[in-house]
Amino acid sequence: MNILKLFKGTAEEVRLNPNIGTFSWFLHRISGVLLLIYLFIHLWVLGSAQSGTAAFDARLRMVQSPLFHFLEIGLVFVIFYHMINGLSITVMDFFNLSARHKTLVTVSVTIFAVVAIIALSIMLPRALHIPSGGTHAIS
Amino acid sequence: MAVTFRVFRYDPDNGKGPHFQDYQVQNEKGMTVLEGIFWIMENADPTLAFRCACRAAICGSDAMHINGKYRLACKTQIDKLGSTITIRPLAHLPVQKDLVVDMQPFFDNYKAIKPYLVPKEEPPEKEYLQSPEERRKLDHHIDCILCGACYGSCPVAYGDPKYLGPHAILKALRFVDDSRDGATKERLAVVASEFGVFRCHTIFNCKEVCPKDLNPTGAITRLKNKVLAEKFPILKFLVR
Repeated sequence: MNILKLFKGTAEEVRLNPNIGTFSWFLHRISGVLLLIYLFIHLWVLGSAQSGTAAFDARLRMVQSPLFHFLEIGLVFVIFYHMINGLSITVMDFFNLSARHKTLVTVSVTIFAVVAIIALSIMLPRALHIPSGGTHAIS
Repeated sequence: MAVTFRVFRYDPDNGKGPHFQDYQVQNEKGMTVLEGIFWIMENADPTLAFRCACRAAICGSDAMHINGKYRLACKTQIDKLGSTITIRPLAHLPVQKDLVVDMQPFFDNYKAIKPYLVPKEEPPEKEYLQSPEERRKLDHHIDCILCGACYGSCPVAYGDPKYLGPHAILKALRFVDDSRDGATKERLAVVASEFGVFRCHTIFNCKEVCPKDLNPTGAITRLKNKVLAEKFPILKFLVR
């Protein structure tokens, strides 16, 4: 109930303050929560290594499905968004760049776009089972 | 041209609860939103409650949420807003009636940073002397009119009413920067507390909405660095 109220209140904040800063703050929070969820899945896969090779292979095979390949693309987006936004805020904090906030946002968005294009060009063919030069194709 | 004013209404005594009410206002060239609200009060609905005093963007009484942004009603031209104007009171403060909010929490936070000059030593016989350079340092902060637009727009203030708020932190920096002031340590201790500068998520809404074009986010980052430099002298190079 409280979580629902918090979510509604946060959405209201975004609605009433449609500024670039509010959007990046909101996405930063969402991406942070998604990264936490990812961490559990990641540990669940890695943790099976303790039970031997066969168990580890079985878990790895489970995450080789197309669904997980698409989720992996999302993961790259989430990680880079969280990282670039966090870094730009840190840089802004330490070097008093608050007056150039919008320039920093432009730089961040550009870096993010480059990363997203590279990630998509490598990972999308793999997710769609299109062999690209052979190296990323799944046998 | 007639403009629709969608005004937030709430009266704790009539049991209707918070709702919006529409009014048609005849817009004339040069008319501000505050004048529109006055027109409603005088001609359409005398029960509408709002705050204002100087009508010239100096007193800071009439900050409210107007069409997607917190602004001063007296500084906002109706012409620039389109045919429907939606008006809400300041957020993060309890609504008393219609557009009037209880500013007490806002000023409690403000008082916490000691918003007055604390002399370093015995006051001089005549006036305090300050060089033009020292005075210029304060230029960026002294224009604050305490309207509360920054506080209303700050999502951190939504999450935690104890958060000092951009207005208080900006004022803290105003005195930290003042060459005549002697309470820098105490103020840094207040802003370094759990509810001070490190609560800020660097969202920039305060800078975005400030009707005086001040930069409270910049004040917060500068105070963060000052607090760090005091704790860890090796980081002194961060202080500007």
